[in-house]
Amino acid sequence: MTNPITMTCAGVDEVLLEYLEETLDVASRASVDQHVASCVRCSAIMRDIGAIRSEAGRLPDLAPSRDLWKGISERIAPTVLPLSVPARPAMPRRWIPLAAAAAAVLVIGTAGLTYVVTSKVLAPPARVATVVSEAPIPTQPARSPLPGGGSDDVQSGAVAMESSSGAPEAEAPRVPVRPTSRGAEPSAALVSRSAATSRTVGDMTYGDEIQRLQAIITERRRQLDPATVSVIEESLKVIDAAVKQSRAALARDPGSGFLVDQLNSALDKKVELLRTVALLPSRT
Amino acid sequence: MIVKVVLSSLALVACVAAPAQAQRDYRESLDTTVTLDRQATVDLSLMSGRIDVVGGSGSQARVRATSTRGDIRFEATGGRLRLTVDPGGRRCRDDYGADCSHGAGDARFEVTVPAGTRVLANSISGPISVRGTKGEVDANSVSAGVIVTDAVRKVKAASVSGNVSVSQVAGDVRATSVSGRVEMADVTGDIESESVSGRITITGARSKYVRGGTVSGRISYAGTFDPSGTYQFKSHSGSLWLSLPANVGAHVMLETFSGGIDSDFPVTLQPTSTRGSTRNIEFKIGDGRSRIVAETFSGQIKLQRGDGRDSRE
Repeated sequence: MTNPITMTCAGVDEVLLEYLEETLDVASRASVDQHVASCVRCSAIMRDIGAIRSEAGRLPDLAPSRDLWKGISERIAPTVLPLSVPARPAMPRRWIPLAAAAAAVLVIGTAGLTYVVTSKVLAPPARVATVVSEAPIPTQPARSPLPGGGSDDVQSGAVAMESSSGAPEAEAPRVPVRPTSRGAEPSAALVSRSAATSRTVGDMTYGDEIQRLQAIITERRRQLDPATVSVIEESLKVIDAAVKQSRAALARDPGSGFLVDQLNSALDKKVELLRTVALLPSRT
Repeated sequence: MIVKVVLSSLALVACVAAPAQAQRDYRESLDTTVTLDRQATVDLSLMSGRIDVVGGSGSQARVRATSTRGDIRFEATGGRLRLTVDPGGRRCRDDYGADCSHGAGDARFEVTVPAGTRVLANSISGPISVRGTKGEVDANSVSAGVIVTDAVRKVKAASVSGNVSVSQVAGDVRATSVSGRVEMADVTGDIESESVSGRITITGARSKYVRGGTVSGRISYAGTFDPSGTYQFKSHSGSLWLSLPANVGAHVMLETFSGGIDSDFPVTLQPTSTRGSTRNIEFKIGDGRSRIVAETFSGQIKLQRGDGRDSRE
């Protein structure tokens, strides 16, 4: 058995394969965990391995967390575009379903990664409440619109909806589901989705992953530099505000693919940030 | 043949008494030269201090390193050089045998590598600078800045709260920060850049694919637009400032929920429409071959004519 205090980089290298295959004994694994948490070099290696695992997690049978067909059909329907407008190129919007699939893959892959890397750090997987406050934060100061710019009134309206949304949301982030309009040709993924179920695959992937990562960060909080923790918390507030504003706008316009993308982008950003933080090396 | 030097037994160890705490401070140093294969990998990591890597000529790498606490570990083969501070090694002990390390202390790595060397550098609070290596670079810091200049093929630079600066890269670049600024200049390969609140500034780009994304940070882009290129910029509340050369040919798609859109570039067609609750403008400039997409929830989108000097601060 390896003494946790004497584990070195070379020692980690020697047992890395066993560590990854989870065949290492508990004491040695604890030693590796302890060393990795305090070693820049080894934590970087673990981060790289995590990235590789994440890439490998791109399973082919994953489906987007929401139906995109309605939005796509709206865009390609001929009556939408006036004759004077050139046909909208397919390319810029073609990435939307791919991005949605990638988002789902990202969070699922990340879940696997964080499980592997941090499962030994955490206590038995108890249900953990959301850690990061979702309390509303002050909105950005009003900016002078550029010449020909947009309406501040609309922006204010969005902010007002955020402010009036009541109690902070303690539940997992929700991903909007767009109604299926393909009728007899639902995708395989949609077949398995109950129309009455409000909690979607996207809900589970984003919500569960975010909660799990937040729990990890809570555990690691004291290992990180306070200034870094402060930066992360402020950044999470910024992202949470974006999530709330996107969600509020989406509530007013559920059919907007643009708003769905904005919400998913914010949630992706949150997962990405939390994942980064979970893998940060300790300051000591 | 593997040359492995564990500096615990070789390096200069100086124990300096700290009168107030009756502690000993350990210091190690290394100054050595090794021969590396072409396109070898140099892997450097430390907690705090500084990493400076510069490109040189020939096939030799010169390594100079100091550490106030922790063992400097140095390993070199023809294809790989590794330098790190191992906190699991010898620790500072006070007169009573207690651990007085309080972390790994500062370390400083100054490494000169042959051109073409691949550089990996990681730190927690130590700034990282990689200049003139003319090879791939992967540099990451938690709270310090990262500077990479004169690299090729692929560059990855990231920091949580530090600024990231990447310039003169003949290859693909991925540069990210959470709250720090991200600046890229004179990149010829694909560009990907992400931040949460940090500003992203791209100047002098000659890329076929550019993607920038922030939540509240501003994105500025100034560079060429390749006829077969795609340029995508996305934010939640951050402004998107794009500088377009006078001779650009692009199909431009702008969309926002509550932000503003302003274009001072003359266009041949500018229909404005509302798609649900969002405003979108789609038009063509010149031959319309490049694709430019800018989307923001509540930020400002500005298309300006010129080289982007107005957007620099």
